[in-house]
Amino acid sequence: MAARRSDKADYITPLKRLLVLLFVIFLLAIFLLWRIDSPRVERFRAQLIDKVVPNFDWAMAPVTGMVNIARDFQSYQRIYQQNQELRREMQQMKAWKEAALQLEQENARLLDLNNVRLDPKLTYVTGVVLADSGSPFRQSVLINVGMRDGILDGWAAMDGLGLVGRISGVGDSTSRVLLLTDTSSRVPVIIQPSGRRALAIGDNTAAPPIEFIEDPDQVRPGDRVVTSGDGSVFPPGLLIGQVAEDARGRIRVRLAADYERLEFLRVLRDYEREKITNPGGLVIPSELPNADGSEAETANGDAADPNADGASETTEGTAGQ
Amino acid sequence: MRERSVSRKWSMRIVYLILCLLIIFIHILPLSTIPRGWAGPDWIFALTFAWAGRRPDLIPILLLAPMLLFADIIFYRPPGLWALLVLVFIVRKKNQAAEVHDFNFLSDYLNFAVVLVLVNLSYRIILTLFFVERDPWLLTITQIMTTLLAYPLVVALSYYIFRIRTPKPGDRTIYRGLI
Repeated sequence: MAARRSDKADYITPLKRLLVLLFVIFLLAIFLLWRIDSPRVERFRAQLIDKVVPNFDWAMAPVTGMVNIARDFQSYQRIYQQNQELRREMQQMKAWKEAALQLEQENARLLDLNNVRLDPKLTYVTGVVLADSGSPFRQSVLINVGMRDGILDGWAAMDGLGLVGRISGVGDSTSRVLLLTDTSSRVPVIIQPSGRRALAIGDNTAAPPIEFIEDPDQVRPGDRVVTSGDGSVFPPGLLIGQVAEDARGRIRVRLAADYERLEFLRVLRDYEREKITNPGGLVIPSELPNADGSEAETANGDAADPNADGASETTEGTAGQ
Repeated sequence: MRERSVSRKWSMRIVYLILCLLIIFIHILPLSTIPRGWAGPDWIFALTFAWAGRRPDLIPILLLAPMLLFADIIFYRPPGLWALLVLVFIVRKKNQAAEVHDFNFLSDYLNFAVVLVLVNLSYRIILTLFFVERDPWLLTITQIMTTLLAYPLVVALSYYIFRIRTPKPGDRTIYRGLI
């Protein structure tokens, strides 16, 4: 019987071996290519995912919705208790809201007095979370904005409150957000109010540890952690969370963003800012005004006029209030 | 008669492919983005191994290799490496399946455990050799454990729902045309 089988399989077996060998070489080549030229392969990956995943959107959205409804249903069981809690919190929130409104008005007035200009480039694009990375080893999500919305690699993604991660991998209509909890995430931070610099290092837990703190004694649980802008990874001053201490006394950051339900993410537009490379360098505009006297004059006038207008308008506004 | 078995073979291959795609689909649903600290079973590996040991003709390499590479790409793994290791061990398993005469679940389970640990170990070793960042140990270990727990379930489901059974001795037709 064995002989009969080998007769028939004679031409199949070498072909099969060849095929296996070809695939092994092919897969190995892909891995080596990835190791050598990672950005190219990652770009290919982003494009492939961009082609594939949005096609499943029609199925993913309802399934995700159903599961979330089921989860919500579980929480309905203790609805009375929750209602009480919410009422209490609401009461506190009202007090805070009042304070915030007053502060906002005061802030607007002070900004106005000082003629402060906020950076006009800090605007954002909002995207919906399509999919997550699919494996417990990688913490990332896929959102539905991409190259066609002008998204670039390295921009910061936030939910309404705090930083969530950074863009890493952009396809045409999707992009991947590497979360702060991923093991390859490193974010330079400042701990307020002490102003200590440190790094928030993702380690696949819900609260990333903070390491390389300049002076750990000055850092207390409850301190605010914001991005420092070092290394121009992120714009400075984005809220990350609060300092907390784990059971082993290690300092971690409790993230402000709601990682339990990431649904909408805003991606901050962050074009190149002026870099100060050496301490004695001059900060000058990248485009110098023309040497031509008349044009320079009109440019100056243009720049000055709206400034004055804006100032007067806003002062009127505050005076009206 | 022969044509019917061929069409059934192809429909089961497509069922295998659909099952794998379904597993990938469920994995990438954005249900929870909180890191859990433990990893669920590698269903694709368990399924592939179970079917390869029982009906090697249903897992043709031409189908398996692209599917594994696709999973690598979707799951943000280093592309190619995990697929390569799984492919090598599954091909070995398929060749063994053609030789085995008395099939019993216990030896299959043991074999599965050994191969699972070997794949994971070699994966980590190769990543270390290439200076690629490795996954946390705890996740790898929990994934091995949960996959071990999931394997009997996968085998039972394949047996009762998809009728994946070891062929009777002498029924050699299923080992033909393995490509």
